[in-house]
Amino acid sequence: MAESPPVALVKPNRGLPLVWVMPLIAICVAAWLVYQEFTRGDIRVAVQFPSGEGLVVGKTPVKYSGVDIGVVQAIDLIPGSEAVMAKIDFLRSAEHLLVDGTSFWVVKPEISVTGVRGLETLVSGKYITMEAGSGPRKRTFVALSEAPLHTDEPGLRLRLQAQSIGSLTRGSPVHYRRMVVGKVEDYKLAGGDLGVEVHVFIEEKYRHLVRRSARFWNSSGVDFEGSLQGVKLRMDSLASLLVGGISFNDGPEPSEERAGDGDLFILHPSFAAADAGVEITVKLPPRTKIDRGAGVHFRGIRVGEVVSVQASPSLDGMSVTVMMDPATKSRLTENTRFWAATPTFALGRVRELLNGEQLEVELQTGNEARREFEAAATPPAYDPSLPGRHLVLTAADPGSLTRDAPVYYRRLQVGKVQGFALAPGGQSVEIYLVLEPRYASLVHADSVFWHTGGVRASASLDGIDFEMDSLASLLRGGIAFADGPDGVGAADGSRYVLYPSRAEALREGVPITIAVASADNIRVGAPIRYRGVSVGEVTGLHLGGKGGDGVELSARLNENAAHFARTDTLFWIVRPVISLRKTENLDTVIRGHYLRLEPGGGGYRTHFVALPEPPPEDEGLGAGLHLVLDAARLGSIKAGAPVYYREVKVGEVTGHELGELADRVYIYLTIAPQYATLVRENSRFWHASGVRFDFNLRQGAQVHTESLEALVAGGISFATPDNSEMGREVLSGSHYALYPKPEPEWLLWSPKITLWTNEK
Amino acid sequence: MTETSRLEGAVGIELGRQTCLTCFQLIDGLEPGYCPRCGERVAARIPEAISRTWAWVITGTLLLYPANKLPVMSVTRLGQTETDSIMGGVFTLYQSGQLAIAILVFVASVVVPGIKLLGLTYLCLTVQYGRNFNPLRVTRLYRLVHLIGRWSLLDLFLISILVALVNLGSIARIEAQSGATAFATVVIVTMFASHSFDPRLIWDRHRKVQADG
Repeated sequence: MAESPPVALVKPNRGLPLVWVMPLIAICVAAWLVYQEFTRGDIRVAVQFPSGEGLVVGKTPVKYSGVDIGVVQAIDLIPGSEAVMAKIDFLRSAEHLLVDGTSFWVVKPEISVTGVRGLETLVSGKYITMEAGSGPRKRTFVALSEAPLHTDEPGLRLRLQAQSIGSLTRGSPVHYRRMVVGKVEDYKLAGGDLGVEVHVFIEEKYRHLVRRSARFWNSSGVDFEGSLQGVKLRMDSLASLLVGGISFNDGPEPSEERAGDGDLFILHPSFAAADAGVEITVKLPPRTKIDRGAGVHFRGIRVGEVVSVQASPSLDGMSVTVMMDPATKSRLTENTRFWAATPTFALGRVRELLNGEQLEVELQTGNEARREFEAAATPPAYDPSLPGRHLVLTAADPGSLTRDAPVYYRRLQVGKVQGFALAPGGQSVEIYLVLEPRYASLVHADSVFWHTGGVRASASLDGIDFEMDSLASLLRGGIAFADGPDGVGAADGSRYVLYPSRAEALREGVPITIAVASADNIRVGAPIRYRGVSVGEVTGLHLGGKGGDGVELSARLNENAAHFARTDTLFWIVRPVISLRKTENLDTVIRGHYLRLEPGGGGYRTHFVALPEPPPEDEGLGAGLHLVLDAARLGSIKAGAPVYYREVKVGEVTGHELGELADRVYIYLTIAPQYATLVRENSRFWHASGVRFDFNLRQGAQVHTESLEALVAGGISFATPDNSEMGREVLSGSHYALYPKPEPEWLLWSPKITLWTNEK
Repeated sequence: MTETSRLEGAVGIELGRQTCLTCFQLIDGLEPGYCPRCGERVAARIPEAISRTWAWVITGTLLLYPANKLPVMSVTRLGQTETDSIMGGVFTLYQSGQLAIAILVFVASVVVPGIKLLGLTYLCLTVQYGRNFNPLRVTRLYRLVHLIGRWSLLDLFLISILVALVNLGSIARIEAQSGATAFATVVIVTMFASHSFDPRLIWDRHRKVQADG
């Protein structure tokens, strides 16, 4: 290397390296931590828990007011018991909480009828919480087995003295007018014979509800019914049904003074025992069955409860002690009436049915207060005090009507049946109605009332026809009424007749009687028809009739068919006709027979004698051509047998009879009017019945019949010669000979004849 | 090359030369100064190397206490917060059956810093007071210490990734705590320590011991 390496530049040394500052800083940091560890580090506390359930080392926190202030660090078993000793490290800042009087407990999820608590522990696991006490510093505690119910909430704290705790538990609700206003905080045995002392907490905002005169009673279980607040009782006190509850009211004579903290009250075992009502005695008639706990209702409002039942001293019934709502006090007078209300099955009142017999009361003010009453076995038939229009109906029997049965006007309920009573003399029943005041003006002097109870259902092939006013009237009967034309209003107490049915009430149509030989499957309700339209119906069947023989049908012609009630009107029973030739009235097989009428003229008449058979078909009578055939024998010809021309049916046999000398048979034919011109003087008639069987060597066999009907029922054919020989048209009544079979040439005739038409 | 040949040979100090450790310029004379070529500070031996190394080693050792005492991260699940220190975390991982990760974390955050600090202490003591030592082995130890230093940061990467990933509001959240800072400081400090050590001192000591007989 030509050149020696350069010389480094010299700078003076600067002593101890600056980097030694770093250990100093590190020392400071570590020292600070060590200092914290000793002065501000965790405080170890030992808490004894009755069970280690749910406690996890290093996990289970201690929360105070929602904030984690400590963690379980170790759990040691305590020999000889199930309890465990948990070592808990608390934050230094929680030191002031770790004093005498502080209580710990484990928060577990709790879902009960009284509420949901600690639900967060389902997710986060159990934790320990505490309530701070105040006292000297302490490092060892014994935890509570469950959360204390008392809180530091402001409120009224009362003591109740009870004989037994019943089903009350911590947290049981305290009700005032069925509203929860507090809870049972704690209970303990009182010293001596004092029973149990229950500590009750009333929320601050309800503090004023507790008067010095308040009566507390145990509303646990079903006895809670005892509150006089109405019908939904059981449902919204389900919680108290399960966990018990306490109720209180203001007491019989409310005082103005309010209760203070620590006041002692008596906890009565039941509402009745609380004596919070007016006690009355009601003597019941024999054979009524009222149970303890039965309600006393005033127009549907529960105003009392039967608290005890005992036989009356004379053993002719029983007497019950009833606790009445204090509100009724002023109306328990000599005018007040009680009666036993047997439950009736009624829509919307099933509850009544479930409750069994109840007492009902009509509260009335009066001159003197009474505490002893006698109940009637049945409700009073007539109570003029109810508002509305009061009417009296007379009927032979009340039918299916019950008390409270509805009264309808145009299917709208406007009132109800109050009750019944036998009319003086026992000849009829009086039914008391009351119409609601706003409907009172609907009743007039000529209104008609009828019974609508039950269902009238007529099922037929036409469908099912239900006639009923409402389901309610189906169950308890009902009354309907209609207005007459007269507009005079009715007064209270007006009397009317109760008709069994609307038809009778309104007297619609014309009642008639029809004498028949036999009822022959005619039933009540069978229709009377004219041209297929129902114009009336049979309303009754009576044996006998006028001649003492046969049957008399009572029937009613509808109003619009009243003009059929005339002397010459014909009635007959329509029966099914089933034959090969024709099938008629098949519907009657299923629907039953009915009556038909053929209107006639003449004067007004309501009694008729039915024809034994339908009248001959009258379409042909007068119209069409009537001929008489003379035949040696009838053969298979019957009435209705067809008459053919060129195998076209142009008429039919209407009847037959032996000739005057019995040497021949007269067969009556009717040819339809339009075909009348086909029959001429020289026409030939022959038997078309049966089978004609021609056998010819050249042509083979020929089977010939007019029609299947003719084959079986017989028939008649005719032919008319060609125009030059046919002769004139004939008149009705003309006689022809009936040949047994046609001449071959007859079949070849083909005259040209103009058919008669309506236009001509 | 034999063992002897490696141990023998010219030494810069004896030749009256030093090297710039940045641009490796050979410089005549042993006076500390600045590299005439690149301007870096030069010295025949890094000045105060042992003293500086000791300072960093002591700093790192002291900081091990807060790094292990303070929680490194907190896991909040459904409002429940759990904090873990390093060893606590390793233990939790081991208990939850994740042995591999537990070992990894343990090695990265406990073994590695431990080896580094112990190794550097040993190196410093050797250079200052060592008498019977194999300079080759000691040099290998130095290389090892130098090499593994960065792996301790694995733990911190894990924490920073978790903090970024698990941030679901109140459902789950992971946050780094002060222990992580302390631990990071330990890692950095040990890296400084290994950097400030001058491995040439090992051979100086070796020669001195041999010269002393």
